[in-house]
Amino acid sequence: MKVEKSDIFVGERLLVKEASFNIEPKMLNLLIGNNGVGKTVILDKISDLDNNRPKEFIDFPNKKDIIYQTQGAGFIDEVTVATTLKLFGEMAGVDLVHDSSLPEMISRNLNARFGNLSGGEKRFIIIWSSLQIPRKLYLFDEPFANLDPYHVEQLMTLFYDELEKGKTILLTTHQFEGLVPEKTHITHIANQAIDFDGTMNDFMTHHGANLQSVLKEIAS
Amino acid sequence: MKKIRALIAFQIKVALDNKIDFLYTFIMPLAYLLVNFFSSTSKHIHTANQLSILLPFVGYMVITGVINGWVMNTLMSREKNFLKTFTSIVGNKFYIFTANFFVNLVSNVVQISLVVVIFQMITNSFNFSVLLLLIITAILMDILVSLASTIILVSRMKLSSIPMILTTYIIVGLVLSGIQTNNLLFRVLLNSVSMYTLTSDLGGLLYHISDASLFNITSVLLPSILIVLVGTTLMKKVPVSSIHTGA
Repeated sequence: MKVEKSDIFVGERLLVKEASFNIEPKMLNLLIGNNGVGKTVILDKISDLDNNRPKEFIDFPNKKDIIYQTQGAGFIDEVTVATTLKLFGEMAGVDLVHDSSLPEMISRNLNARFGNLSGGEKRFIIIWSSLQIPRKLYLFDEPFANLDPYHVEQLMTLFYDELEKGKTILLTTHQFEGLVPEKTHITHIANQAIDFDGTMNDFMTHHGANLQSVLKEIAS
Repeated sequence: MKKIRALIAFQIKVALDNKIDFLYTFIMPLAYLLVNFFSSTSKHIHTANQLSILLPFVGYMVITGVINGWVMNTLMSREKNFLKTFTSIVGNKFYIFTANFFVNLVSNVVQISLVVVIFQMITNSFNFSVLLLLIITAILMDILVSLASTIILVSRMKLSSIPMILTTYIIVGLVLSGIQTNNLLFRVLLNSVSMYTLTSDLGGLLYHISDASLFNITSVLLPSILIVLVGTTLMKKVPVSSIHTGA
């Protein structure tokens, strides 16, 4: 999966000129950059939900083979966790409610209404449920936003565990704690261009002594 | 089909939690009917009079039910970015639209049936054929109003403008419903934009189906075909992304 020299626009505003980068299979692919550089727009185009994927986006799966969790999207507060899992399970063709690998946090909240859970708990349940639906690519927009360190760690562990099952994940984030360099691919957008596209180890080498200031700027 | 069934079951659970919508679509029209006709409890109301009284209510309940239900639910979930996520989970936006439509249709038909039955009982005028005719009219009009409403879903209308538009449409529709004309073109145009007049004409056509005139058939069929064609075309273009967000 790759993007080759694609100009990324929102309306008539150019966000990224001649964007070229790869999505590595079975890795945690991060799309990073300051707010407003075009990360969400790129995810929207990859998802192709509005039939707007450019021809320069090559070898991406059909939109039916992609799960896309948008920024801040919760779920319906009035329904219970069990009802939500049942729906996701029916989309995946599996029984998630009685799944033996159901995380403890989810199993103890099965009868709770979504509206009564914390932001971190809701996010974890939706992301875990999304990852149980077999798809070729998983997109998550800012999955760690506004989460406390405990839930960030939980989600990070979940992502890397799912990679072991052969999944390919692309997410946008300002969060850099807990990343595993060998399993992480980074695409960095800066100054309306792809500043870097490669492994996390190469990213750290690329920025050298400036790494901390670069990360600090992105995280702000 | 399995996915649609699962979505319908899910949407029913959600709908049962949103009881405030029943105030607009059920309680208010029922209250209006009862207040206006409470004095008629001892009089039997004949079939034709029942239809002329109840058809406008059917029109009102279908329009408010579709706009406040199917349309508003879709718009709200889209503007919260939930529709995008939900579509990727389900795999196809039409499954979501179909499930929402079906639940909304059943809800509208049940409410209309209850209003009609209560009205008939209060006025000692129970008539099963009228009830059946009104249910069929409601089902057909629900489909047509839902398809016509795709114009709202593809437009760049703000969510906050919808209640104002609905109120304006209801008032204008009620004014237009009093218009009588023998001009076929005018009637076709009127029925293409006013779901109230189309409801009354459709109900009247079904009642007189065995001896319907060409005028009556054409004034219902042509707008219906137009709405189906435009609605099914626009349905494919309904975006799942919020229309008010940028990068």
